[in-house]
Amino acid sequence: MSSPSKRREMDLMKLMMSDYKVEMINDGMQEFYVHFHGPNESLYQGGVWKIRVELPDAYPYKSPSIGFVNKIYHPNVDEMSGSVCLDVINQTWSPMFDLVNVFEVFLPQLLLYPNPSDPLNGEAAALMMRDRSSYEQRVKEYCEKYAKPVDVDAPPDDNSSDEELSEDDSESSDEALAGNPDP
Amino acid sequence: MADFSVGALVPSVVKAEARDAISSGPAAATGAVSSSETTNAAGGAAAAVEAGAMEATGGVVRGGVGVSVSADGRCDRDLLCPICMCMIKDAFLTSCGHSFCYMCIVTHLNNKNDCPSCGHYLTSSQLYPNFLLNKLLKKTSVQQIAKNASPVEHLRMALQQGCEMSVKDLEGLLYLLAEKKRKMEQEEAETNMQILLDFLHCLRKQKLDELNEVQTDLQYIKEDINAVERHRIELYRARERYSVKLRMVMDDPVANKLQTSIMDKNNNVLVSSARSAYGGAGFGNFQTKKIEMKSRGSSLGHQRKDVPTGSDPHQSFTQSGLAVARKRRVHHQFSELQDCYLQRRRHGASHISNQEDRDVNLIRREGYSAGLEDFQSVLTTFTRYSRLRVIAELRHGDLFHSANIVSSIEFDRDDELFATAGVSKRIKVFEFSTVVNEPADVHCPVVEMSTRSKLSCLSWNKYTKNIIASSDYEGIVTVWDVTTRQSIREYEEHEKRAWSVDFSRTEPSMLVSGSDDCKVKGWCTNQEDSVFNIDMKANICCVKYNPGSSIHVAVGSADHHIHYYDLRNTSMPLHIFRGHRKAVSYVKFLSSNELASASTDSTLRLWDVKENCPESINETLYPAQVRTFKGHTNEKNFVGLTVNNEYLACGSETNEVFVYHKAISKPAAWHKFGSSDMDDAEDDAASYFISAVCWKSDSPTMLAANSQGTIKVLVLAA
Repeated sequence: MSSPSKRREMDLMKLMMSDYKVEMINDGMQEFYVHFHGPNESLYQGGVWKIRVELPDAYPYKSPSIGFVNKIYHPNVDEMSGSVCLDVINQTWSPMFDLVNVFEVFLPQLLLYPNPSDPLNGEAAALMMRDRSSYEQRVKEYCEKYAKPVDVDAPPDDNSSDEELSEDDSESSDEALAGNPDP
Repeated sequence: MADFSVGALVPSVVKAEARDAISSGPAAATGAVSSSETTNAAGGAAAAVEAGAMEATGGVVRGGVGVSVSADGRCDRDLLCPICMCMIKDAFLTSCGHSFCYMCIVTHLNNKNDCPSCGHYLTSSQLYPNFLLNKLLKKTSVQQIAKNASPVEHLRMALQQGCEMSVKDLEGLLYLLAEKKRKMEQEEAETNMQILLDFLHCLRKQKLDELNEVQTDLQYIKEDINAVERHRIELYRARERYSVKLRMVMDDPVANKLQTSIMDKNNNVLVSSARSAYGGAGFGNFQTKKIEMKSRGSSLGHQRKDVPTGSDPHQSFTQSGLAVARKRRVHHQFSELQDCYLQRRRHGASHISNQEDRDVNLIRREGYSAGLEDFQSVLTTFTRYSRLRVIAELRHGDLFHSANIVSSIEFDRDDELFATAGVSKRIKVFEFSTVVNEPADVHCPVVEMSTRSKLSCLSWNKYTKNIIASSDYEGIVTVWDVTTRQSIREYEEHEKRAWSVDFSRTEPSMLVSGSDDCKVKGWCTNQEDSVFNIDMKANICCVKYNPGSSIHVAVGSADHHIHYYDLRNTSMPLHIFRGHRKAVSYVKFLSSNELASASTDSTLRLWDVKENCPESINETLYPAQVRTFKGHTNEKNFVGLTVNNEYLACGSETNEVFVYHKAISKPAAWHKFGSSDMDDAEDDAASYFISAVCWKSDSPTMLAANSQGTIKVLVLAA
């Protein structure tokens, strides 16, 4: 087989050429961020999301993993971590697809037609089935709150690496360090 | 990929024939069809039929390749394997008619049994080699190589593979090659020499610049030595005059004492202590000022052991032990002091050229230039003290409480009372003079107030003597009246632990607090709700009002930066001070232009705060960070920071208090909190740390408290 990275390079190049804003995370071509706009005529219209794409070693045989950095309300996206259900991607993935396909076809499809049979956000799935209009309301609220262009441009902060000073929390007299401000 | 257009065949005929001349591949006579056909045509029996049909219909003979190669030499996209995006290698065909590299399709079938192009069910037994495609691809690749080769490679290939060349031709070529070689060698030699020359010029310039700098510095030093010598002579003359005057007066023990004290002072001319205006002032002033200096220098009744009590005039010529000690200190920190001197002197010199209207003040009294005067005061204050002396100690009282960390210790408005607070959930107020003057085993606080939760910080009101504010672990900010021992206000808006609270110096009813909920809130003692709120992105560890302004607040955050806000516009900070490598645990102001901060990166930093300075001013021209102080250890905890207008003091995780002079980055003095009961202290000593410190305004006295609950009153001493 010819060099495995040729395929990646080409895909990345094609993605960059096609007017998507791409930010590399490191120079390894393993992960990067893409700015994605909600598809028109969907509930997510007007929202802007920063999407983290990770290409596994077995790419293109294995699908890339997609995660939303800023929050989105969708049955197949985990609200806390933002990752998209891998099964859903894998089912439709083929090595023929490239990254442009993901952003032009796959993601818009997913947003327009969520797959309630395999939800990562059970609450969203349930709401969608039960009360369509308040589901739509919720989606729009989240877009307003979390999917504004300013949210997407902010540099990603590693909150976990900030150490928090703390005075004594327990009975011991030593001051303890609370490692993570958001445990 | 389905591109069956027959029309595409036609144009490629011409190109293919032209290429035949270059490529070494023989023209295929097999009636090869354009590859765009073969990739789509099935390789099996069906394909053969189709190919034959093509042949029959078109009767078109392709020479060699018949591939439509695009003008820029890139391979036809149809020849690329859709999985690896490179030219297909070992082409294999699927039963549904799609071709891929062998490795690519097999790897894919390991994961999933479908055709990547159409999704049709597929297994590895349904793969067939596509011999024709392989052959065509081989030809294409050869052609590609030939096409992309440079003339040199072409020539080389031609020579190696043998072609007709006459001896004359070869001679001609040889001559050309030799010429070319000579030219190239000459160019290279020239380039090398140029590089060397550039380097030498650059080096020379650099060394000359250094020389100039050293010469200028020597000039400054020479001027300053002259100025100081002149002044010393003046002082001697003055002393002579005075002692003559004195002998005329009755022999007075007081006068004698004065005389010896003057002599003693004069011994230290080179590193003499601070002088206020005596240059032209009358002698009466001179005397009183000297005595004042002396008593200020030795605070709290410290006796100078070396003062000669006898009226021995000869003593004036011997250097006292103290002066020697001070000189030693100077030498110890020589390089730092050198930098300080040079910086001030140079800056002073350059400042002169910018401000002509300041000419009047240029040569100050005694002929000292501005920079030297500055430096002298720094040197004096720096060498005045070498150590910290304990003048009182108190245990935090409860031997029954294991949790004793004192998180905050603060003097009140008049420095008469001080309050402590910590994890023991109690605010204790002590009277300073009692603690210092009356030694007792256990000192009792004059006021003790219990709180609901552990306290993180205290702040006395700078205007009303008995009001104090506290912040606690539940996020509640409480304002207390210590005379009634009641809480006056409780502000409960913070959602998480509040780390810091500070009353404004200029606006007595305003206070500000910062919390783990990433918010800075301002309060007024007249109202229950917060007056302003600043939302930030990371935990707030400390807040402080600028002592010269009621609208400027510095906020130290866990994001390693200090955010300086103008309260009239809290959407954006006026300035962000960057430099610390870890969370900023304390911010304190030395004056309205100087800000000090402490952080768990084991440094303190001094920053220049110009309130009028807009964000856009280039930080490389006017760097905000003035100095970094290192010497103490602080990696984890809140160890305390306190500043007055000359010194900074902080605690350390080695159970030591460190004092820095604001102009020198190494510690000026330190003190270790040894435990008085040595028995249990051996293994625990390592884990104690200083948790709070506080200067008694601008005096050399300070309070320090540690995690054991011990509080000491320390004073800077010679």
